[in-house]
Amino acid sequence: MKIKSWTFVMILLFAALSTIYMPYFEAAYAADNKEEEIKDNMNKEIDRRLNELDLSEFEIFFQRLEDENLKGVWQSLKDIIKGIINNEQKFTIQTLIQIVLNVFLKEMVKSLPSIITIIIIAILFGVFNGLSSGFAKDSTRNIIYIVCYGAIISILSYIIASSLITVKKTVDMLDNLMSLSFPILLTLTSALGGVNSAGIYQPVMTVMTTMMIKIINIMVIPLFIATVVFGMVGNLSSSIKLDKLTKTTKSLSEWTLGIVFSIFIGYITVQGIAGAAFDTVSIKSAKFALSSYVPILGGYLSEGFDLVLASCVIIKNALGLCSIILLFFIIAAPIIKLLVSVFALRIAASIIEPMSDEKISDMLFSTSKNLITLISILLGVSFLFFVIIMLIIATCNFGVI
Amino acid sequence: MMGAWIMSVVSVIVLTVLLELFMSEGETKKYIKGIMSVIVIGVVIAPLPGLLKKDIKLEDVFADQSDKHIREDKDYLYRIYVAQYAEKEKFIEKYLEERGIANAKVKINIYQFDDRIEVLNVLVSLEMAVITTTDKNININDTVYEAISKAVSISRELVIIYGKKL
Repeated sequence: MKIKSWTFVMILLFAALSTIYMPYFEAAYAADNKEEEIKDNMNKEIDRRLNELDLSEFEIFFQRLEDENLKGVWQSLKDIIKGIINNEQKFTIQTLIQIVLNVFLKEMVKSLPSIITIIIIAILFGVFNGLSSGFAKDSTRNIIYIVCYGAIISILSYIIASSLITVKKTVDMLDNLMSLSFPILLTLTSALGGVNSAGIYQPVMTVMTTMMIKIINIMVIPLFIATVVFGMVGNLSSSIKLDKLTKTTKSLSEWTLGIVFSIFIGYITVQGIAGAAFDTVSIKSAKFALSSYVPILGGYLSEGFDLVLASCVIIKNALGLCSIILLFFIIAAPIIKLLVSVFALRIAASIIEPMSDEKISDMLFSTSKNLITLISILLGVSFLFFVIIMLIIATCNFGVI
Repeated sequence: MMGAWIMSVVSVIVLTVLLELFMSEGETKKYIKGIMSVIVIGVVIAPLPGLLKKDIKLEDVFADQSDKHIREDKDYLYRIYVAQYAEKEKFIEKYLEERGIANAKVKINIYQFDDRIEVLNVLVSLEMAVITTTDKNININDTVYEAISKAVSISRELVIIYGKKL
């Protein structure tokens, strides 16, 4: 009897407890929100790697850039990288065009005084020439022509010298940008397993940064100066002309730039693609080995490998894009400034042509054509940089493609 | 190199223009004009034979131009060398003291040529020196030369030992 009552009490107790705790019983499902979990893991991994990267020197370089348009939108380098990773659209086409227009107008206003002075001197000479044809001797007119020409040349030299200094500063800044961003990109590429690619890109980048800058400083810029000087001096007198010599030096500098750039771009494109193909094969074989030869956990490890690689790839691409954004902001202002100078000189030449000596307007027009060499230097170097970064972004995406 | 060429072309042309300006019309003017044009051609072509003759090495063309302006501070270097050799003198004196010749005075005379420092001679003064070792077979010259050769590589003739009353 006692046992029976004990059993009855136990059953009752059990029933009471289950009734009390019933609401806390849940159905247990297998883990279902895998996608969100993976995305979360990915973001954490990206943040972790971003904090591990040593971007201090790059950050210092970024702070030294004096572009208000750039600084107004992003306060630090990490801002740009995080913005790219999270796909924030900070610039629309309209804002970009607006920025370009603003810089254009500002530079135009800056270059107005010198251009107006040149026009006034030339017009004064033209008026004097026209009025004095009766009473002044030829030699007097020649002397006055030389004096006016000298004044115009001194103003023009100021314009050309400031353009040259701008170009040199910009090329130096591009050199800095390249030497700061390439090591980080190559490190990330090697971390991805792209050892062959990194090994191919490393010497190319070193050669590019040193040899390109040297070629520009030693050959192209002196040839440019020679072209400008011969253009000015050749128009001093109608009997001694240096037209063909000017054209020769100009074509020499253009050909040097063109040949050197073509060789570089051809070489790095071919080498880069070949190296990336090697690395893709080696990484694929590593993953296959992981999943086939490691028992039980092989497949899981192989997929986890993918995740780690993917975060590296995202950071590498973000950094590459960030370098390209910085590149754009560095070269935009100098190129617009040079274009404004070219444009202003051509306007001056066309205004002066009908009412003054044709030699003066010839000289102004040929100087404006020569300034385009400077623009081509800047564009060439930045295009080279752009191609290399694009190659690294496009070809070293192991684990993603 | 290129700057000099540009300057010469510019100066010849400016000279031509001025001459043309200040000469009166006549036969002379035509001849002078002709001669000046030949001079201009000569100046423009001047660097070409130099370029074509020798083989242009890539290193020479791209040699860093800015290195020309870096010069060594010879005075500072000389002071460093003097300090270095003073240390060697002390070392030799200490070495001699350990070998039994106390209170010797060593002076190393150096001369700074353009690209190197050369030791002219080493003077060892034993006037105040005292032999502290009881070893009777000490050869002073050999000991001194051995001490000196530990610090400076110099031939025996340039070592001058004086003041021996021992």
